[in-house]
Amino acid sequence: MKISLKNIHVNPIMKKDLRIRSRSMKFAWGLFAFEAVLGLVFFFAINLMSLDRYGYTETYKALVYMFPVIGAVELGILSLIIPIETASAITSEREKQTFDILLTTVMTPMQVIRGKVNSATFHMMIYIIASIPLMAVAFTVGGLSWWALLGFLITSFIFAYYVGSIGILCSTLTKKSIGSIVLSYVFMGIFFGGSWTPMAIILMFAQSSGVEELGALTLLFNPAVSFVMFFMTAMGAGDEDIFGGMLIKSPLVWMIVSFSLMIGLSLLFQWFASTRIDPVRGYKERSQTKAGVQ
Amino acid sequence: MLYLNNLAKRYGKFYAVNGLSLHVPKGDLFGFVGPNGAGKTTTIRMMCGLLKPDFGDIIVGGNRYSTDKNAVKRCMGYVPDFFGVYDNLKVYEYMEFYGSIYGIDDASVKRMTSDLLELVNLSNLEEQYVDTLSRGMKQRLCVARALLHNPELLVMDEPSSGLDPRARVEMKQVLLNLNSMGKTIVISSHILSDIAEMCTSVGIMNRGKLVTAGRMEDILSLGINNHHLIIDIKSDMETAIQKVREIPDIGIDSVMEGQIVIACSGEDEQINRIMIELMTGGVLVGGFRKEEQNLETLFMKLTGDDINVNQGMPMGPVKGGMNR
Ligand SMILES: Nc1ncnc2c1ncn2[C@@H]1O[C@H](COP(=O)(O)OP(=O)(O)OP(=O)(O)O)[C@@H](O)[C@H]1O
Ligand SMILES: [Mg+2]
Repeated sequence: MKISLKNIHVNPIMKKDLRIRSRSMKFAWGLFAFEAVLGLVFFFAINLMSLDRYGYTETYKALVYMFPVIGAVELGILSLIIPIETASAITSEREKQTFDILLTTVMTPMQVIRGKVNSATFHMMIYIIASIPLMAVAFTVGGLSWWALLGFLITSFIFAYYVGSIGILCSTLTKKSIGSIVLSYVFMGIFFGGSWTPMAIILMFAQSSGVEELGALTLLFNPAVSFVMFFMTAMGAGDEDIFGGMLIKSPLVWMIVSFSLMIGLSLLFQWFASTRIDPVRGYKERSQTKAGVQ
Repeated sequence: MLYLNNLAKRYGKFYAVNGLSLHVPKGDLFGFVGPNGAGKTTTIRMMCGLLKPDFGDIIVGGNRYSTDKNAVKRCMGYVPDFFGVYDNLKVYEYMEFYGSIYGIDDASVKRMTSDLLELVNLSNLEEQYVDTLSRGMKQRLCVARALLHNPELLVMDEPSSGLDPRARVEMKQVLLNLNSMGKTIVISSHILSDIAEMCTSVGIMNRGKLVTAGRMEDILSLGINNHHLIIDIKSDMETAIQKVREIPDIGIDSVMEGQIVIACSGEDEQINRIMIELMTGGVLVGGFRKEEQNLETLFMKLTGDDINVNQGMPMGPVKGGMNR
């Protein structure tokens, strides 16, 4: 079979959403603002590094740190943007009254949800890819391996997919866009911040009881922690540098376990979201009871 | 083509649709009529899989909704009463989007789009953005969209709501064209004259129940005293009413200022007898006029009285006021 772009089946919703979104002025300005912030961070960081403390060679070497700095800022911004982008994915279709038509087509609720998650993920990847030129300084000048860039793209992809799935789920939990935005910030708060609680509690009350390490397990669901792990690996930190009480000592193993869990959880969120939008879930023919007939 | 089998939908204790059974044969243009809150939209939404029926089943083209949702969806196109379109999308992209959902490739969609747009009088608008179309144009575009996967059954909720008289006529023409092409169509409407003019069969709903349904001509000859005789009375009303009451086989439909409306079978002999009885009884008749039963009078008769009131049903949600 001839392989051409036309033969690849793309989820129709994803195609439509990306087309609509890339045409909106909001997207253009968003991208502009995003790049502007990153640019500012970049120059600020360069300035700090080139303060007289370093010689030229040192400055070049220090450029390596652009990678985690820009990467972290980028993901911070995206964590703020994604809920807004995704939380309205379903509610806005409802508000626009296009959702009913969608549900009467042959698309299954799961396909609808997948399309929405995918378009959110790819949309976020556009931001990530747009920032590569800035980051490239760390690679070309700083001498970081290109594998690190590939790793960064994969990590970002999983991050966007995970956070996007949370946002889409929130979008199906409330009727109004504003409610689901708030809800998805709450969810994000739980995953980013709340996942530290077991560890904190154990450290406070059960210090040196031998279970400290178990408290770190919930951190496997924290996308920010896996990012730190990624940057540590990419920057060549050794296994012994990892946070003291962690159960899994190798950042690489940590990342693999964490990513698998996050993808699994994403699929679970998507499944749950699809049950939320299915108007006739579990419909079986039932004969009318006595109470109904008159 | 379409069977509804003892369909029911309950909101709390209130039955929005209650034990509705209906058969729409292939090739029919079926009109759903009923006062506000009768349950038309609820029925239609259940037919299209947007609401879960509490009881009953839907069978479209031999496929049961409860066992094969997708087969039902494939042979059904739906145009809701209220709907929106996406911003920043051109007409052909809009069609392409829905086409790709049904797995139709872009080239075929392009070809079908121009055919369908011509059918709904929107030719050569492929490049226009959908959100810039007028209400009537959007409605017709939505019809074209619903026909993209060539469904056998087209379901439209209130196709003429919000349309100006010209757009209404155009929409009617589109529906008649489609029907003559062999599509089975189910529409709901408040505009009884439209329904009477174009539909081949009709169902009258009231308070969640199908009061009557059948072919248009059968429905219109329903009942015994289905004609109205409107008589202007110039003398005392009381005596006139008294006299009419004495005549067998007829009834008083309503009494207005100087006017009596009599329900009768409408034969000339009967009308003559009524007039003679009145005149010999000393009633001064100013004039009279015969009105045949039409969908409107039948609708008023069938939905106005309380014969079909469900027990335990709150009166609140039913926006009544349909009595003369
Ligand atoms: N989500 C809901 N919750 C509670 N009651 C509802 C709901 N949806 C509809 N109903 C009730 O069901 C009844 C039928 O409503 P439906 O919209 O089907 O009427 P309709 O015949 O389409 O009326 P109209 O001509 O105004 O469009 C109404 O009394 C309405 O109040
Ligand atoms: Mg309605």
